Amino acid sequence: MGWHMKRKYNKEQTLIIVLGVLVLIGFLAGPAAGSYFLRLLSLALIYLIITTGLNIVAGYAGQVSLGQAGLYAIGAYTGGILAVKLDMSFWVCLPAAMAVAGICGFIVGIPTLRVSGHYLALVTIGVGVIVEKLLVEWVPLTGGPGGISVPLIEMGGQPLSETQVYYLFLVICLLVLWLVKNIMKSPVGRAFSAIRDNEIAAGCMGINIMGYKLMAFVLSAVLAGLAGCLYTFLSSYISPDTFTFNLSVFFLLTIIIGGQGTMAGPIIGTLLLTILPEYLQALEQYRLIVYGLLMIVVVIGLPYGISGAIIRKFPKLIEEQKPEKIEADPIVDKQKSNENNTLLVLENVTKRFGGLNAIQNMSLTVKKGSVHSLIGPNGAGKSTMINIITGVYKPNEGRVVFNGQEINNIKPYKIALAGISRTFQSVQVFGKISVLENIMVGHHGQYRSNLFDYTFKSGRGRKEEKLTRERAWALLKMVGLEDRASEFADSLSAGQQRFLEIARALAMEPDLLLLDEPAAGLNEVEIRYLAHIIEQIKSKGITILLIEHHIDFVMDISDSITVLNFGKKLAEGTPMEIQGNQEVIEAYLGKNEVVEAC
Amino acid sequence: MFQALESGMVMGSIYALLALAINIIYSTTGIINFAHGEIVMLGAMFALTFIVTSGIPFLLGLILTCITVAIVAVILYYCTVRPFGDKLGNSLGWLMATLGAGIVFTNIAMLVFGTQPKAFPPIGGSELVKIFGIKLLPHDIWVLVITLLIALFFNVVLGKTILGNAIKATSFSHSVTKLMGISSQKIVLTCFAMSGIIAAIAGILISPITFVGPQMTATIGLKGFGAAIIGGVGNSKGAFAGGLLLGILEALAMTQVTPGYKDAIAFLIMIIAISIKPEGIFGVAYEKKV
Amino acid sequence: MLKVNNIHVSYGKVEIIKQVSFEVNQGEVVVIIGANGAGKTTIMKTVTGLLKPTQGEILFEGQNIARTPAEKIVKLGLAMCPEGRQVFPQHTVYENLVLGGYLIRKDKPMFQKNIEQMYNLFPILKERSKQVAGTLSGGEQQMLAIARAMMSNPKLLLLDEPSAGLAPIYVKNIFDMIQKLSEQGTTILLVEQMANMALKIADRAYVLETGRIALGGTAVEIMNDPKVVESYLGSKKY
Repeated sequence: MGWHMKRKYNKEQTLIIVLGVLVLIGFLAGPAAGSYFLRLLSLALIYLIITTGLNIVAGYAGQVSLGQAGLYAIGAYTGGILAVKLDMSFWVCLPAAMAVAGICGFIVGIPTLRVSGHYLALVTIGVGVIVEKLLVEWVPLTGGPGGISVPLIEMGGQPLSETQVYYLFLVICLLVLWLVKNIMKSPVGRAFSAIRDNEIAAGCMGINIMGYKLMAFVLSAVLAGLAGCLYTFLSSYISPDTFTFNLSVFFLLTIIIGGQGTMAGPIIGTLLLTILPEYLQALEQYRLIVYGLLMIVVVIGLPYGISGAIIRKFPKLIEEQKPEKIEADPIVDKQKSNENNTLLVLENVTKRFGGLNAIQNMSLTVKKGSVHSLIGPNGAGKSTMINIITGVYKPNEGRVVFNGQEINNIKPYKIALAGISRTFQSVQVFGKISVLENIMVGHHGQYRSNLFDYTFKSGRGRKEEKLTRERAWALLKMVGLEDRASEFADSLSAGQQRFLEIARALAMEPDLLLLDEPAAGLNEVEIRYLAHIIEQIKSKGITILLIEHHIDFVMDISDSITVLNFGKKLAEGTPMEIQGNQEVIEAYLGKNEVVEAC
Repeated sequence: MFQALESGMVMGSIYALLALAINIIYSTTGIINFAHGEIVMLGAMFALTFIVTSGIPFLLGLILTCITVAIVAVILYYCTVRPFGDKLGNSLGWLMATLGAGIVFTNIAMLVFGTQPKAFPPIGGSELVKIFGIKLLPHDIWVLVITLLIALFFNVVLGKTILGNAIKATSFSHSVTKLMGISSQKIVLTCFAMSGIIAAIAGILISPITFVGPQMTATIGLKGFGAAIIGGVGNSKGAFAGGLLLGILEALAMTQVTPGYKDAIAFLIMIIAISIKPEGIFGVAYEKKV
Repeated sequence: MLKVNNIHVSYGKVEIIKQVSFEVNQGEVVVIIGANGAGKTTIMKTVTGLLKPTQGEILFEGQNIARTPAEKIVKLGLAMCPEGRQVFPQHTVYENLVLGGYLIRKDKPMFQKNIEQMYNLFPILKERSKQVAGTLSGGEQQMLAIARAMMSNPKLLLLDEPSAGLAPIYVKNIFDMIQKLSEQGTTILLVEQMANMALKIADRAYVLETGRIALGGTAVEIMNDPKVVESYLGSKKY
């Protein structure tokens, strides 16, 4: 079968698996510890489900949610109301609660398309408060402050015993963990992390940011609804004072202490925060003060949570297994598609920033298979051009045509999918995922599998994943980073990050590659290496649009050059023509300093 | 209707007072102090202790309260913001730490002052006065006027003085600000202390309206953030307008639905405002440069 | 004027600067050249107090400033133009200069005089005085950064890669400007990758390699050293 069957675990990884099995055995043996403890364990399972869901949206996708208790309440009350008012069984209530919470999650997610960070925190707090008030005030539906009493779970006409309920919850919880793990280890999970680490770069990788953010909110809401419904049937009574803002804070704290963005985080956090406090009862009225202080100490002392700290201490835990042979071809050949001669055309494009013309009436034609360079003084509008071509900025006037298709009014991710990839002037890697995963994010647009394939690990999904991984290793080898594959991308030096960006851009299998000052900050050896890589890319028929200040480098590798000055085209031609152009020398190159200036 | 408008303006002023203090911290550190509501609550508690319980004259009590709360705000800075260094950004660390501080403050207040809300005398007595045919408490007028004065003060300080310039510079970069010979640390501390002083004043102004208790600012605090964001964070004009707008809309909505929905309505307004215009009424939208 | 004795500087666990010593005398232009990552910026940050050395001393006019906070060092008469220009992007050009002159803010005539002087030196800044600095071009921002540093009447001006990321024509401009400032009596410590240009205007130079001073001497000596020629100056492809 695939690579994952042959996978060998190193010592540290084996240790974690053993630990995980021990925790599982502990849970399996739960009923032996008596009725009170069993209830506590059941509650822990419910919290594990909701925090795993919260981890998707807050930990992986980086969207803070302080309103999770609201979604949890929606699940709980949907289950409760259906069971009491419509006399429905647990087995109908459960999917209904997940669906209703999911729809609410979708609605909550809509503002996130516009806001993030503390704005989002406030929006989600608001959602929590609104739900809380509705529960109290909408008496006919919710029973108001008095709450609702709910019947027990039945199976085959018989109510389940406490122990049976517990094992049912355990099965549901394990299933949830497995499915979520599958999604997080797939392109979807990587897309979430990419959005968290760098939204603009993620968009330029062909990731539909809005779609994925909403997906993260819906997934986490569905799990909150599931957990809420389980809670209703566990406690057989629900009332509004369970679902407060403080509970939302508690859920977020759980994943922060455990470690956001790791599967183990919610597990560690839940074990610590649900079961440990039982032993702190002696603190009585000081308990909440200790809890508040703990919050402060933990976020300061363990910024990445417990699992994050462990990973940073023992990096071998997340080591990628390097394949014995790297055979795949790093760059996909684009030469066959060379029927038409022009690839990219800009027609009279103008872009203004608050009255200032960054680009004025600019026209440009880039030929297929060529290396075309843009040079000019800082502020001449070079980066603005790249941002217009990739859809980060919308032009005020004019058209951009790529491969015969007008692209000036399409979203960046669609432009990326159409075959334009880029690197950034100031490097924009996805810092908190591995170097290898960075490149795999680049391959995002090439997948044909869907969420179903990833969730249930279908053959198609696994095949595509294997292919992506092989291609990513080949690209890493090409840019000389194969020994850093498992490290977080932000631990690379600036120069290495530049090469990583190029590899990531190539993973998108583009027709046009935009390089925005790829040589900035590189030393001479690295620049020579870069030139060599660009030659390779060109030989595969990929067109390159290059912005660069290192003039000798530009003159050496370009087929044609366009010089910009003050947002306008100053000159255009072959390197030879440009070097001799009097206007260019005056505005940009400077007299008799041409060679030295690099 | 007029009565609703009037009570909306008073509550709005209080939201604005909180928003102004939240703003001043935001302007220099780029963070939102989620414990600000609780600091206002502490202000009310100290004022109660100094003025009502100990019988210290009002003005002296006010000054003592301001000093005490300013010290609390500075301690808060050292415990929950400073440890995260100079680059705060959108990290969750300070958010959780300030939320945690809020929990600590509330529960300490419960231990020390008890959970029972206590009355606090309004400024200017409880005789109603008539202005343009509307009956008002003198206290309500004080609330409006003091809020307006503080908003104007900040507008001038932030917009026109070298201190305001330095505050803006600190939010861009601590190290570059130091290279100008300005102690960025002192600037940040000044801002936290100022936010503490306004919190103390806000505490005294709210107390007669809400009564003094550990939970008195539980939702008012959150609405203060809402007001700041509706107006555009970091902007004193916006904080003032945002606070008033939120208060008035809330009060007008109250004439249509039952009072239990008050907070729900306020937060709904806030969410809609943030979603439609995240940069705020007075904020400027800009395209992010890559 | 400035004497650095055997400093060591670390970022976390990694020692970036190892036993570095150098000096700058009154009226000189001294340049430190070296490849990317050699530790040039770290040295500059240490001299200005933004980083603290783990060992060694930094004497400025005889006073050890190795443990002095950055804002106090500026007061002693040492100003820096940081790497990447770092003008305050949301302040206007004028407000940037005001902040640069924060230390002399009480002396109004002096402040006015300095502003006039900077406008004379960089006429473009006067033209754009009301414009927000973030909208200036790279070259203009560099001029503003230098002017801002000069506002506090520094005795010693530190320039960290003033030419980085600038178009070739601006590079020449900036070096001319540095020379002018030197002629007007400011002592200058310069860190540069463009060794060729920098050495032309320098009196003395040091070569930094992987955190150590590999070579030191007059600019002419350094320019003619065969190893320097090979690694930093001509005869290279890019």
